[in-house]
Amino acid sequence: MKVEGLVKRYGSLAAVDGITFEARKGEIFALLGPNGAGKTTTVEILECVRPQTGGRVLVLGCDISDRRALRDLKSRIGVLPQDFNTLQRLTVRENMQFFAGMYGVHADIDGLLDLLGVKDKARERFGNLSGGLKQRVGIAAALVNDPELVFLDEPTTGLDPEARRATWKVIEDLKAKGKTIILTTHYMEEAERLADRIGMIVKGKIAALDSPTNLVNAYGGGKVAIFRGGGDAAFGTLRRFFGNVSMEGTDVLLPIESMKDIQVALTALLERGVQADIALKTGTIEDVFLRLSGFHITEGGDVR
Amino acid sequence: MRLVAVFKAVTRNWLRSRSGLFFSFLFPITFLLLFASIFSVSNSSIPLAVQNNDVSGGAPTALSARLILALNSTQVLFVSTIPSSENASAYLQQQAGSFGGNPRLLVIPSGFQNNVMMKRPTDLTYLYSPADQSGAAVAGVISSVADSFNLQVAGGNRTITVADVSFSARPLKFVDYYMPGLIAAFMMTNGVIGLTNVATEFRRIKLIKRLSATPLTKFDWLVGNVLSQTLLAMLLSAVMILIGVGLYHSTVVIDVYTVLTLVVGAVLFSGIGMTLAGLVSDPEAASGLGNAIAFPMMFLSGTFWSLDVMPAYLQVVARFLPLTYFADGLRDSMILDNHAAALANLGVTAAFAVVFIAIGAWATRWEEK
Repeated sequence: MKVEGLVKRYGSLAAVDGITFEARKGEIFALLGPNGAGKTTTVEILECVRPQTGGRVLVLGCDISDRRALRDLKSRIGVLPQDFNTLQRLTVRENMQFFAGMYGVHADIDGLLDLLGVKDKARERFGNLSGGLKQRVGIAAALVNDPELVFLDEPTTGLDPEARRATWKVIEDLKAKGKTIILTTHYMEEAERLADRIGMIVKGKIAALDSPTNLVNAYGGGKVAIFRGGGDAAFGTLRRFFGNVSMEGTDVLLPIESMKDIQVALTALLERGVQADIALKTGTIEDVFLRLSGFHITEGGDVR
Repeated sequence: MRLVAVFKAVTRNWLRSRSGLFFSFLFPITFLLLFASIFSVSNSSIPLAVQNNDVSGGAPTALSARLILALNSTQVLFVSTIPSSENASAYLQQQAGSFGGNPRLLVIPSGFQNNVMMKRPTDLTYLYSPADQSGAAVAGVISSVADSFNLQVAGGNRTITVADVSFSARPLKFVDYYMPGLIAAFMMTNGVIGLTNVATEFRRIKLIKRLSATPLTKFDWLVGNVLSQTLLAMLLSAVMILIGVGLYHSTVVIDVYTVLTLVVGAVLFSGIGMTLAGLVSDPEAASGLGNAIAFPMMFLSGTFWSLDVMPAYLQVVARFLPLTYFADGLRDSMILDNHAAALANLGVTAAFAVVFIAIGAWATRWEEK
């Protein structure tokens, strides 16, 4: 998939403001950003359910501005929308048959429900399921046509931690089956754990795009040694050797560039008999996001 | 294939809805039972045409003129006259086929005055439509006027008799009068209120958006829904007719005109439902609008009472309501055996259906903005 200078404008407001990225076959590509950043608008354009204002998009090699090609393209992609919902009074199995009918395929519905861990719910009405189960049925429905490319729009939003981890496992299994997955999320941990590459979206633009490791290395602020409870004694000692020591409460923080720095710091502290617990902190995607955008994302996906 | 999948899924989803079943089946059936049990005759002035063939020297005879005056002064009837040159049955056919037509014609035979004076038996002929809820009541009024003439002029001898002839050979049951109107009214509410609610709900839960990401086309989706509505309309009609026949010995006719009219009507009201759901994005507003349109239409279209008891300006309104033609067409085929009129009403209903399906298809948004 190739996205070049994608723009979506509503009047004077640009919801998507010149996004460019590529997703490679077989990878999990995450669009990470807060609510309102343009993630869903972007994937809905890629899913061919919302027309773009400008830019060029190739999905599975098809230019999506070519309306005639869309029907064929749609039969090759799978979509889990935000807050997936379907016919409430049909059972899970009947809904799966309904979606299979939309693609004109005979799907292995039991196999899919089994894969998603909802086989025992096959005879339950969809409307009676919990939010987590509904999302899983949604993922099963997104796979009913055995798509090459799967869009998962906020697949774990609103789920409890256990359901979230179960869903992550499913997504990892999908990747193992060779599917290409486009994932949107506002959960840092989710993007970091699942994605091969992350595009950080801020205000309709891609702020950074790389693998989680590279992003952290480039923007995560490197490694920091923390001397817990070191207090003024540790701070004073380390200040003699390092210029960028800082304090948070009684903790002393020392950014380190090599193992040598740790050795120097430890030796100095031991010589002066300063006691402290040592922890090593690596930068996270959250640090990257904070550095790039200047704000945090709350659990609910809003900016702070 | 996709169309069939849509049809099956939405029909099944609907049949499992308790509130849907209540409003679409139990509610209409309750109405049918109520209407069949309550006999009510309208008290307002009822139109009656009189053809006076008893003329001498170009003017009505004195006695025939007095009879017309007497009929008029009952205040129950609103009497108009038609020329004696007019062919009575042609007049009735023409009036019956026209809009909201429930013609009633009283024919005064030539020699009426002479016969009465000579105390010879003479027949007034009263013709009315079997679909006419007021027809029997008017016959009663004419009889009582004729009786008073017998008393005053003929000295109590029953010289004037009234032969009432309804122009259908088939004797009708009371339930027959209401059956077409009830079926028409509730098919209308199922489309205008029921489908509007269903369609806005599908959009509210974003099912439409999800489906637009599949190869399903808007056309298949709409046709699947219309077919589902048509099946429901057929089921409703069948249940109503079975109850009518089973409990009240209804004699309504189900012929090709009836079935065609029902199908076209189901398509028409689906079109209105799709139009409302497409044009009004807020589900509650769409539902409110559906009710606001359905209920006045139900009462203004002559489904529950004949149009000519309504004031003239409301009759004009009725002329623009699709339900008027649909209900009239059903009456024509189910109880009047008037195929020409049924076909004419079917044509108007079909024209409305085409217009609303087109607007509905246009208004249904398949792609996001």
